[in-house]
Amino acid sequence: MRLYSLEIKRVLKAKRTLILLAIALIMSIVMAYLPVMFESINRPNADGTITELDGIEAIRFKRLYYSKVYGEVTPQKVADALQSYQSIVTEYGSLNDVPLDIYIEHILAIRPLVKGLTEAFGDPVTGIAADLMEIDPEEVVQSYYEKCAAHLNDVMKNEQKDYPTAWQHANKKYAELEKPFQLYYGISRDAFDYVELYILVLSILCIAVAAPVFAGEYQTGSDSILRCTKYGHTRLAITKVAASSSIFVVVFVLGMTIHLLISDLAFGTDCLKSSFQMLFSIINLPNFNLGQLQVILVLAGLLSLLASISFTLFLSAKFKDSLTVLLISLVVLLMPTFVYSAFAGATWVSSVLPSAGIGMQNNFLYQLINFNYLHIGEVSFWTPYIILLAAAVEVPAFLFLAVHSYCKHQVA
Amino acid sequence: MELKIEHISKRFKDKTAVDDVSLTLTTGVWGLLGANGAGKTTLMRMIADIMTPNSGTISFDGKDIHKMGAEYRNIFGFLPQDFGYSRDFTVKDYLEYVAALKDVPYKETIKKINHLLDILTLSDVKGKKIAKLSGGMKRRVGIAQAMLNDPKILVMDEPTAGLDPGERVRFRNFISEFSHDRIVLISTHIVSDIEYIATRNAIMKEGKIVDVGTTNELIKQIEGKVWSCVVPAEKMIEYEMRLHIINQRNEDNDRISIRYLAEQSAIDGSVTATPRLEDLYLRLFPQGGIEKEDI
Repeated sequence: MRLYSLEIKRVLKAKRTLILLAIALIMSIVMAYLPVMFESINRPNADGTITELDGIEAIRFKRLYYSKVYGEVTPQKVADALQSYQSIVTEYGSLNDVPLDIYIEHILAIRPLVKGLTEAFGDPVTGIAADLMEIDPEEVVQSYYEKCAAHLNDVMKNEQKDYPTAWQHANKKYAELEKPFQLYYGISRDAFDYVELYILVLSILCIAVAAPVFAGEYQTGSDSILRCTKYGHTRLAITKVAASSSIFVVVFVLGMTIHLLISDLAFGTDCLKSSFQMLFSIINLPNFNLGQLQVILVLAGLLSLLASISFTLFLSAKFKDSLTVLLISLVVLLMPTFVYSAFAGATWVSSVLPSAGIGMQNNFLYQLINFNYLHIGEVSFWTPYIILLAAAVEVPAFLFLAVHSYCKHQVA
Repeated sequence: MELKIEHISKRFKDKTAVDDVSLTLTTGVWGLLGANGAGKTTLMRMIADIMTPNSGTISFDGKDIHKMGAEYRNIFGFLPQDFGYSRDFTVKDYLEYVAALKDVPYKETIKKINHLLDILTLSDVKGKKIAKLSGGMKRRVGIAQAMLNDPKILVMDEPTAGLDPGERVRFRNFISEFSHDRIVLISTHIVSDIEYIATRNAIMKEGKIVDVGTTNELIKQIEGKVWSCVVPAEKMIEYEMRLHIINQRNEDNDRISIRYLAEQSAIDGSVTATPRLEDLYLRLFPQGGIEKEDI
């Protein structure tokens, strides 16, 4: 314990660590506030004019404005919204001819309710979205959720036609979703994108701190002295790994807490009760609300971050040059993003690397939204599960290899 | 108590750094002398068990040091040639850190650190970052860390590099006192640092131990072969080409006092001088590789 606290003190006293941690905390505030700034809406005034609202004001107005659609998304409620939409569009001839004030007051307000309809009633073969004017409200009342499930089945047929186990998994998961969905307007998709982006930034910063943990000692030669001491082998290696991991966990939790606090304070907490499907696609598989999504993204992000850091610590114990360790770690960190883009979808490589859940299109959130399955023979695995499982295996594996490599290291 | 080195060899890609070295170190101060590249540092690293030999064994009181592991490291102190440290450490933080690694009990740590800082005249800088200290001070911090656990075996590679003459004298006295009932191995280029405190010396050349003995035993080999005389300055070029001059000092009237190595007197008026370890060193390593304290 004494060695552990001295190691923590040593790492935290390093100027490089302090600078990177300060950047991590500043970025948490900046990146939480950016999606708030992106919010905007046109508010109709009593005199018929329109005022453009931005940022917090826009969010406040939207929460009030959409409050009438809050609550359970029952088929009846969706059908009523559709009927209202159709009658207004019919009255003015087309959607483009609807005056702005009428559009804002009667159509925009119900859009969150009806947006899923275009998907659910889409073409079963091509997947092309349906025209709201062509959907029968009575059919919505009768079979709204059944149509959603049928559309998911159509999508799976198109995307995974050779893998029936993938269809079965998706259909089963969708059948298990709590219905009716809940709709509380507020937090934007951008806010969730920025959570993932912040995890990427944190990962880069933590890797920069982790790179010299062992390599720095080799580089300065201090390793020659430390490994001649009684506890200079396994215990020192475990202490270094434990101390740096503790610091990264604390920084990650602190950074994410600040980030989410700012986000939730700005967007409100009511919206966190909204179902995953109401913000993303109506046929998405995750069975949780947006508040739970935040927690899951943090936990999955932490696991991926720890897997990436473990890999960096392993490299640090293996190589003598901190810069080499940093460069290789960054390449591996960004590899899933590149591979995902290059192959236009999930591959084993982009899903099993330590940083598989961190990045741009490949990140964990996007894997929850998408229907990416990887296959071994006829068995299919949903990529979010693969990412979590791979990271859970890699954390202890790379930490063990880091300790082992440090103990086996020979002074040159 | 003995540290036995038996047939140790270490080969790198294109060079055999240590070639079948056998040596038994007993209590007292041991000087390890040799020119650059003689293999001293490699040998010390193997004694420190931070480098694995290609062949041979090192044992302490009959037990293989590698198999002893933490037990060996617990009685071992090491100062490498290049004293490395984390740049953000203060002297006190660093010594506390090493003390924890050496399992020095917490209650004793502060007392021990203060004692060593006092002896090594570092008390005034204990709160300063090591990176900001002078070369000599850094070296003394390195010496302090090696002694934190009162090691039974203390190995120091060039401990006096960067120390001023006064510091070197204090270091010699300190080591003399410390070495009682311990094995202290010191490698140095500065022969005078170990000449008077070394119980025995080992001389290393091209990866091999070429001679071992007390200072008196070693210098016996060159008794009657060290000469001194005073010569005119204009003749110095000729003598430098012809003789193995090991020291020279300007005198009055354009004359120079020289000390040279030769089987017989080579200049009229030469008298035999009392040989020193440095003379033997220069005989063995005529190409140089020596730093002299007082030249």
